[in-house]
Amino acid sequence: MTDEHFLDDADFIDRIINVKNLQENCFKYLEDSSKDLLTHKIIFSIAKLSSEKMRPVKLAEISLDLFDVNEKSKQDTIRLTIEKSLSKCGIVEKLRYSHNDVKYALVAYRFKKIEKIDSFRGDRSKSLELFEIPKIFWPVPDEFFQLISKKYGIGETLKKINSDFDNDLILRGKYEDLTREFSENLSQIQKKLSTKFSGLEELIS
Amino acid sequence: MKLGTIIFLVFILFLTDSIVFAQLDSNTNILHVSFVNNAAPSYEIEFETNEKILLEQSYSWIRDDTSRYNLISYGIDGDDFIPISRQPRGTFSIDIPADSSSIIFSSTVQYPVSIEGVREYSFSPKSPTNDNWFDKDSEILILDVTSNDSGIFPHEIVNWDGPVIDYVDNSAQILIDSPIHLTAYWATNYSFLGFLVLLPIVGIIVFLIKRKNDSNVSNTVPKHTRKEPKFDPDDYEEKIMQFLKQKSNEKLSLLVSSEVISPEKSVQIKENL
Repeated sequence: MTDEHFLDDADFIDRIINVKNLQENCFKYLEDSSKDLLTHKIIFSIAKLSSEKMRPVKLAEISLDLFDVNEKSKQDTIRLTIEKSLSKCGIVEKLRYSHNDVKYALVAYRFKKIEKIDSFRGDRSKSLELFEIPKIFWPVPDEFFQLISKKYGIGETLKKINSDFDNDLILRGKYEDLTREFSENLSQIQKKLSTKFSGLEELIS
Repeated sequence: MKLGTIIFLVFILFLTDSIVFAQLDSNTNILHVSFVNNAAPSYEIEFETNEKILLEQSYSWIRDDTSRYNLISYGIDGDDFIPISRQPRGTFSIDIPADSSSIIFSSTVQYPVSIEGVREYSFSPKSPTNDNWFDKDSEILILDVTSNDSGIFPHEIVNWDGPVIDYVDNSAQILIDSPIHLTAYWATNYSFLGFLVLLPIVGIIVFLIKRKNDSNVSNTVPKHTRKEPKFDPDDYEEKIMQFLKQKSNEKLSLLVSSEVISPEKSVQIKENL
């Protein structure tokens, strides 16, 4: 199996940006009160491992992370927990790449708790609260962080060049060359952020 | 404006913005404009008598690549010098009486001071032009220097790179004899933690010693460093690339401290920045 079969960066970013609505009985798996339950641990393990590996993860990897062992019985427990609870709730997605290659990924990284209201006008839902998987576990490519770090660095550098020019520390020619070069770089970075990583910067910066 | 009045653009100094305007009438007179220590070339303005002259002179003008002249006073027809309110840039204007024959401007040489590796600082005395330029041969204290890093434990300066005459705690003294560029190097001071641990032990030891003898207190002599001035405009591009790297790394550190990325991941990203 090669990387081209895994979720690509854009798919992961969609999962981060989209908010998944959950009924109260499913939302409870995310809450702190469930932190000792296997369901809660599996969600966070998948998030952590996906972020580290930047791809969906195998049962064996989850088992190793949670139990420090890779036994079949442990894997079966995890698989059943996912199938009976987390997949049914729409929190975890099972991705079958081939007969022997099955991996798991979180459907979303932000979940909204909703309450269904039965009324004579039909079913409606009411939003209650938002849960966010900690950002440190988001599967964000390194390239994104390189871009936002450079964007900040270039912004600050342009400020310094302007200030140095005001203080007569550099000649006009050098000032104009440098501001043009850095402004072009900044514009390219911004373009990439708004195309490849659209919506992510607002959530992370 | 009287008939026959002409406005003259008289002088442009060193390709800077030093400009003189004069209003003239029918009888020609001459105003000699000069500068103490030949800070700028002298020149003459022909004008007509019984007419006021509006003379304009830049507050600052270039001396060389690393210094500038800044206007401090003027004297008309050999009278005492009259100080002006000093400004970093812009133009000083003065109405010259029609019977005047000479004006001399006095200026001083100024050098810039810049500091890296610090978040905040102040100068004492402040710049006479309210910027980061200081008069030649003045002694300046850099005070209230704070570190870019924040944390529980205080940071203290362990060294300065640059022509520092003297430094104590988070302040430094400099002599303005060239452009000054300083870099502060910091270290975290854990002595407070040690102080808490050692306090009871020291208390007992002091008590015991006091009972026998007076103790001698040794004074720490502040470290004197004096280095050659460091300012090379050719290095600017290299310095600005270092600055860019430093700022980009600061953003990464911020992402780590706000738990958006792990320290391990940040190291990996930093290598590819």
